[in-house]
Amino acid sequence: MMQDYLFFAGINILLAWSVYIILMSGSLSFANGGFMAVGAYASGLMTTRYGWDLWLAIPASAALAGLFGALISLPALRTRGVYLILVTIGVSFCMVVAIESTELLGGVQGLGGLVGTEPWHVGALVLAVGACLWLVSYTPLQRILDAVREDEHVAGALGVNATYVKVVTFGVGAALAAAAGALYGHYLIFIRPEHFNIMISLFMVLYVILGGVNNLWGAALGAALMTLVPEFIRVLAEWRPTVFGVLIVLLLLVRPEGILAFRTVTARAGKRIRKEGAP
Amino acid sequence: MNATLKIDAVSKRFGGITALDGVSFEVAHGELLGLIGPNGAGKSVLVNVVSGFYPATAGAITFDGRAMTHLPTHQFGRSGIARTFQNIRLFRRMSVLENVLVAFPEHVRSPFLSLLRSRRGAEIDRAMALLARMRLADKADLSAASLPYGEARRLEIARALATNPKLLLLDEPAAGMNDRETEELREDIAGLRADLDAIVLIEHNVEFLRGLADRLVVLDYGRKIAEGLPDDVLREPRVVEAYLGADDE
Amino acid sequence: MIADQIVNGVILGSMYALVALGYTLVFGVLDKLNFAHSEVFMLGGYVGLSWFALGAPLWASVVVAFVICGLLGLFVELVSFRKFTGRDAQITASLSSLAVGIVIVDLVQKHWGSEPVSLPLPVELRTAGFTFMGVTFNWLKLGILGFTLALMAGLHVLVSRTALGRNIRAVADNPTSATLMGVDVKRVNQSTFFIASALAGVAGVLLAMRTGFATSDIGLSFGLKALAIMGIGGMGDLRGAVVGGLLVGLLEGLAFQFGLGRIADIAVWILMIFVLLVRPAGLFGNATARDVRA
Ligand SMILES: Nc1ncnc2c1ncn2[C@@H]1O[C@H](COP(=O)(O)OP(=O)(O)OP(=O)(O)O)[C@@H](O)[C@H]1O
Ligand SMILES: [Mg+2]
Repeated sequence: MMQDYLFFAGINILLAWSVYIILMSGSLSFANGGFMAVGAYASGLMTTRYGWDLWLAIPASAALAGLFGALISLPALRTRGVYLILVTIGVSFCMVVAIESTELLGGVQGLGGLVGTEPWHVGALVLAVGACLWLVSYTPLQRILDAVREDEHVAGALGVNATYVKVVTFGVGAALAAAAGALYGHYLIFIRPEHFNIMISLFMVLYVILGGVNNLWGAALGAALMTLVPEFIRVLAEWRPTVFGVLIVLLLLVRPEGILAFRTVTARAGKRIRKEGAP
Repeated sequence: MNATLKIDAVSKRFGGITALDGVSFEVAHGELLGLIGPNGAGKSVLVNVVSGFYPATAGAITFDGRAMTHLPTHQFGRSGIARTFQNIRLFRRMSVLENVLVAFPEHVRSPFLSLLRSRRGAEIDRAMALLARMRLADKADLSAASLPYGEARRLEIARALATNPKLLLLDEPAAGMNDRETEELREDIAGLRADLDAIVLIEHNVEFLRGLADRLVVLDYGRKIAEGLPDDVLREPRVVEAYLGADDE
Repeated sequence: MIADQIVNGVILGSMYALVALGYTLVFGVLDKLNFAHSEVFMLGGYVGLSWFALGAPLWASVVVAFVICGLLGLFVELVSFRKFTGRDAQITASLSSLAVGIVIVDLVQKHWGSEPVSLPLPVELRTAGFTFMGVTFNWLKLGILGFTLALMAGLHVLVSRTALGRNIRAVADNPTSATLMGVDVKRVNQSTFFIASALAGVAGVLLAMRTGFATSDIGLSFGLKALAIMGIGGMGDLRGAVVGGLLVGLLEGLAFQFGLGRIADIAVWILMIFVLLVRPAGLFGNATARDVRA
């Protein structure tokens, strides 16, 4: 049982990061449940029907979802952020219906026979993705993402192709959601469309909002808290949505940027200030 | 005349408002051009159009021989046009140093490749040199949001310089500064001329421009009403009238 | 048959429009999405149904839903929007309202159960009708349609003719200059939320009357479709919400007629994505994306 909890916590951390990566360039995605479905179903098909190795199927399905995500974001990004929110919600709905009406994917009945994920696989991916995000947080890339997120027009005036940056982060986020979806599917053995409905997407976003939107730790914390704590406190499990919702409303009132609100400073002058310091 | 920037019959309309109405002039290589006009004359809109912030409704912009008119904003920045904002637009969540680092052209052009070829120490040194130039070196690790008005405006200039520009557009850089700060800023700007092909400077304070600007262009109601040497332009009846009209407000 | 589906489509569309109007009213004034709106609409159905089950007349149930949902709207404004002003807070406010929505759904499910609850309308009321030119009209449906149209007309008069409406338009146009002109922006925001949510509540009751039951998942299905309709019509545009609602209602009615039940369910989203691709500001919007820049 413990193993299950940790597994789902790991998956949710990955999903929260998939939202966070997209948020790094300032867009909010409610479609990550859909990308997760792409990952689970694509890798499911590849392994069960075409006999691919799971370790080939996961990157392949992640790449597929990444491409799909980038394609979706491309036109929507031309307009204002709110429209992208609408489009991503639409994608989430369409994805579920599309799967339901595709016989190849098992339709409403679902797709079975997905095996191969061990809990430690998820742990390893969490560590790997976390390490990447952590390393990136000290690079020029992080600064440019922060600039696009804070004021994409000014970033544009400096020469940043904000649309390109946003499309790429959207694709990367979608790919990560898909990888998590593939691992998830191959752990559950049997997947159905409703595993990937709009609520999944909403919750991923809320993990990030709860934990903190400015750094990778916040997203992870939010996901871990919301997955693990209810498992140990019965009342919480029963009232999970209410507790979660009230918590978020209250938190946003006192700390609009989440529990861990700090932003990592990418570079410091430190000693150089005294050396060069002018009066 | 060897023109760096050519503005040819540029118009900009917002719905019913005509903010720029067929404005044409050139900025010569090595020139510091002062842009003046009463409130609402269209000066900032012109800067916005020339920096690619707004697409022009009509007309053409040529920079360094390149037709810019229909290019996306980031191409303006990459071609060497940098600007500051009348309503300061720093990245307030970043430190002062980061505000300069973020603008380095090699990373701006290929943000994802920056992961491979960032040279941290050298970059910080370069940024510190730019900050020192704008007298901000001792503020490097402060939050940009914490800077007072005058310093924030100088940081905007430092950030613009970090893009390694040829043309610098300054939109009322002295606004909100006291007399001493204004005088220092004047010297800073004069010191930038050597490193830039051209500077366009918007300023209400005519005395600030006298002796600094090589030429003036005057806008009123979106039209160019005068152009020429500062002393001549400031004597023209139309200019005096436009300014007196503005003073009535 | 087709004619029947067209009539059904128009009725459905008018209810979509009523909910979409609430979204668009709030978006027009505050420039923010109110995700709690669809759940307030859902709650409206339960509130009306409960009062009716207690023996209140139908009209009284509608009035109660109007008032309770309106007050709930004020609450949403207070906790999710009051503090988050400015453009930065656009996302924060939306997510806070989303959390409120999740709480509403959970509490409704705890109180009424997660199965649909039926609204015991008398049989005469549900079936009475007449046939005209081969099309069967049902008095209840017509009543719902007439009432919805009357509410929309009322909203139109309110926004275009009254002092409150003038203030609403002023704030929607430009909050800063509205403040300078002496408009009490907080009061306008509250009124907007009250009106939007009260109308959604009424729409909830009407939908329960139409379908014969209330269920806790219509917020996510029906309610969010209204959000898409706002996108189709143009965010913040009242005409757009009405036209978009009717259009989608008709489209769904027709898709249903041709046996495309599931597709009918996502037709609105596909239409929205398509419209936003071609006309990023929606059918009635006219803002060009690049001019909002500086
Ligand atoms: N984004 C916009 N949408 C609509 N109208 C605009 C926009 N930007 C500027 N304008 C209008 O264009 C006109 C010129 O404005 P602009 O800001 O260029 O004036 P300015 O010369 O810079 O004045 P100031 O000295 O006050 O800065 C004004 O009437 C202004 O209202
Ligand atoms: Mg100006």
